[in-house]
Amino acid sequence: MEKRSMKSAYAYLVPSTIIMTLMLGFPIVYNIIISFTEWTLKSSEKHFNGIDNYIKVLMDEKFIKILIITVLWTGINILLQMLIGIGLALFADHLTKGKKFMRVILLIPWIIPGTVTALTWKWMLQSDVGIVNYLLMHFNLTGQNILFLSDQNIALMTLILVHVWKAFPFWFLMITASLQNKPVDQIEAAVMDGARYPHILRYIILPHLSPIIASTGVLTTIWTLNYFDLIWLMTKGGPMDATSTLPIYTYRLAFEFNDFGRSAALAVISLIVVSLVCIPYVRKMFHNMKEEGVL
Amino acid sequence: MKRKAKSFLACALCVAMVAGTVLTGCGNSGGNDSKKEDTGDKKVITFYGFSDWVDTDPYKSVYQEVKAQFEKENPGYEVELQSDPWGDWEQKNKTMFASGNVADVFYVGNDNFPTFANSGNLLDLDQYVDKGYFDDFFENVRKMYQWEGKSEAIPFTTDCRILWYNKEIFKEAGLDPENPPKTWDELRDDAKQITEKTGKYGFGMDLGLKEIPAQSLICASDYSILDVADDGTVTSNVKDQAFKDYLKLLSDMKDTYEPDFTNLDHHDVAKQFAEGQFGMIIGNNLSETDIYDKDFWGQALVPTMTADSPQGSFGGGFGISVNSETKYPEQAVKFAQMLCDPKYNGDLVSDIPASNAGAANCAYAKDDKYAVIMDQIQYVRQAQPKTLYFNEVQAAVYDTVANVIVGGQDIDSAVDALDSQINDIVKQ
Amino acid sequence: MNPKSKKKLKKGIGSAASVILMILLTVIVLFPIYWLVVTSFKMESEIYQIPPSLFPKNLTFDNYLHALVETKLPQYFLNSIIYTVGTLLVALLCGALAAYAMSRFRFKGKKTYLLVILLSQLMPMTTLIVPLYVSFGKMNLLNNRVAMIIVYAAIQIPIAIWLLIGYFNGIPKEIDEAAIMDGCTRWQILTKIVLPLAKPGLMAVGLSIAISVWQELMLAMTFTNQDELRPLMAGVSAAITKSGVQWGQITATGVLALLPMLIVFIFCQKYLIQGLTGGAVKG
Repeated sequence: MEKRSMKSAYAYLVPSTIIMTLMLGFPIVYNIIISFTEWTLKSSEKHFNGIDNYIKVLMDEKFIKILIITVLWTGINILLQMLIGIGLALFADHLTKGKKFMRVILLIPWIIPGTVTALTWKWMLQSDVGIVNYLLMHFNLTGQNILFLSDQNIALMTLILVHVWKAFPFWFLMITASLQNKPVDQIEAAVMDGARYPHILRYIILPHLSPIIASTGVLTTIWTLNYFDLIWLMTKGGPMDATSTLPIYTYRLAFEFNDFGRSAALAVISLIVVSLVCIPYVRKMFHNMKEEGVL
Repeated sequence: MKRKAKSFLACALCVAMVAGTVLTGCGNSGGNDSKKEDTGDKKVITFYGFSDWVDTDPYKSVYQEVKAQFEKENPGYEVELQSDPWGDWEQKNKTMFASGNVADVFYVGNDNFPTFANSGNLLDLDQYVDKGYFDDFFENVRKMYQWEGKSEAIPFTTDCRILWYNKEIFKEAGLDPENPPKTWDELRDDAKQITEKTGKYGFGMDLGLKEIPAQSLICASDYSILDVADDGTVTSNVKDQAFKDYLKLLSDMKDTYEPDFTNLDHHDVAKQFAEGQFGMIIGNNLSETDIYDKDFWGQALVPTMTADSPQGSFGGGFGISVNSETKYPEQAVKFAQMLCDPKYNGDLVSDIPASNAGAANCAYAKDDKYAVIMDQIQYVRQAQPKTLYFNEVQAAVYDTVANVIVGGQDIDSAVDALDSQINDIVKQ
Repeated sequence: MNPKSKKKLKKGIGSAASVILMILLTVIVLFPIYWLVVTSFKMESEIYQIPPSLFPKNLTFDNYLHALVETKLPQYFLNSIIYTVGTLLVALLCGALAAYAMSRFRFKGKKTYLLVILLSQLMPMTTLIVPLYVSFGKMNLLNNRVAMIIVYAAIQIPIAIWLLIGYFNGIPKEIDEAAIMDGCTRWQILTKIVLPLAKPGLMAVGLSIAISVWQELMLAMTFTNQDELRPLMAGVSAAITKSGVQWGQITATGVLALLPMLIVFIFCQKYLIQGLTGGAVKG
């Protein structure tokens, strides 16, 4: 029984494996090879140069700054997305009226194309011609234009908030879906026993949500860290590299400085960074799966 | 057994589906990559550019006309015009180069020309064109497209920046609307006076694109950021007083900029100038705005570094190159030459043709409102010569300017840092 | 005040608070969308005026007219549907099969497989473009609808697997065991029991896939160069021109790209709920 089960399990994996190997496996391996190669558009020849690209990238004086910004960008982003997503999902779940309406409304930011989101927000946040500054000043909330994207101290936070606006709906959707089969009996029993909502939340609902929080966390961490459009279109990594994340610099190395070798090396480094960031979630996921007897 | 067979069958079906789709994919991929198979007995020459010109009226129909004319003059050959939107074009062009999948004839941006030329992907045109063919092209622009003494692109277009100023704001500030600034000092004084007297932004600065900010101001002098000796050694000149003056000028004028200037690009600045929000800007023909419907604007040549400095303005633009591995070099070069023919050149682009005859025959030459532009165009140049480090140096200068005028770094230390950075770049 | 009316009052305050919160959320979430829509009805010159106008002074439909008539938007629209539906079919099918195996079978290498597919998501897409272009060029797959669908599917399958495992695990194994007792095959369990029960999960994952494929720009622009094969986002891309962003055009195209997704959303919303009622999983 056990053996047979194993064999047919592999059969289920065949189609996805073929597609992924062909379309993702190959370019990733190719990319890793390139990272050990001297390859710029300046020359049509490529040759192996060991870890030169890695040394150059790591010695780059901007590297540490970019790394820190990447971690800040990802960390704050995920925290906010998660809190807002879960909070709103619980809120919407509680509503008796307007539940459906809220669900649709809260999902809308997600379906606006990334390019359009970035450009619209950029325009809204400009000084003088931007509507946000106009409204803030109109209602006397600030005396002068806030330089949302030009002030190096707040540009990153602005981008994070815009990205949270765009990305929290995914959390909202995942949590809402998971709340649909929350352990109603347990909750009712707890209510009977006079438990208060925070307790129910803490001991019944959150444990129920935890597997989906872990897997959504992994995915959104990866997506957020690698998110490119929004930053590129809104600030191009500026002002003064205050919003330069790893993908931004990777892109600039390849398509501004024409150095594909170094760009690939930075991509591999960013892969390692993301893996490190993801370890806690993945552990949690594997832990959950073990508990459920899946692994 | 049955159970197993069924699940295997299902998977086999999926695999077959995937394999099938990939295979049929191979079959039906029609006319895609640039190395297109010749159709029938026609020999196909592919052309790649951006759709703002190639695929947008009024230029589109002229491209079709050139194509038809070429096919008539060269029986048996067919031109295939390919293009991508402006925003995707550069990245795609580089992707095509990186994967060895280049069109036969294509636009090449002046900034990337050294890179492409050095890779050996561009055909040496001198052996295909008549002697003296390049004589009529603007000298400074022609030099941008030469690599190791060989002409590897035909100068197709150029452009220039001029000083635009708002006469009404000038009057309001107590300045003479018929006497725009001619030197950097006058520019600084006028900008400051405008901001002090009217509260409006004196000078429209933009750092939104990672290019050397207000590069035209550097060009209006005899200064160059880099020098290239005959033996190829590159030296940095950023420690010169001239460069420090440039940084000082930009930081002195900072109070007159729109506060969000790090986030504006030249289009934003142009549009806001057209709405009457800036005293002065350095811009090209402002074709993206409705400025010519209004009457408050004045134009002048770019203010020069000192009263004795030569005129100058930043000129960019595009060349036309031919793939060194094209199957039909002779015809490909002919097509490239046809695009740069003064007869068509001006109608194929929104910029200005880079040859005397072409420029004289373009729409700008026939309209008085472009008189200053046509005057300035003869002085176009760039703040650094074409080297393999062009983009890196540009990025380093951009960062330095940002550090000084946004971050408030002191000019001497900024210049020292830039100098050592450029030396590092050049050493590679 | 008796305790009963006190409770009522409390409830009243609670619901009033939630109404206010709802309104506030709606405003924050919808304002940028409002701005997008308003801009699409403005003339180009009004867009740069100070102060910005909350309502268009001269309402114009030119931007929409231009998008619908002068660009190939209908064609783009059709292509977007083909890419989205194709990717959904391939990715959900492959993803559900693999996730089912992960959730219900014990086998060697499961952990490794999960880690490897996760790793495949870690590279920024921008760095994969050149290698993919090289291989597409060699295999003659540029400008090919099916190839586009397979690439999109490849990117989405790992996500589908990871998310679906969670949903499949939420379906009690006792149901499987009971079904096996009744003589069901594994395949029947998957198609007749697990998939229907996982419908909300499949819907959620499907939506996520559809949305990211619908807005994908970079791959579509790189691997196709004919308008006949390009999706809606090509219309957005075309509005970023050499003379700057055409605000009217880009916002109008953005609104037009948004509408179909919004309709799908409202429609799926119903299904999301329906899939749950009468489910055996409840409780």
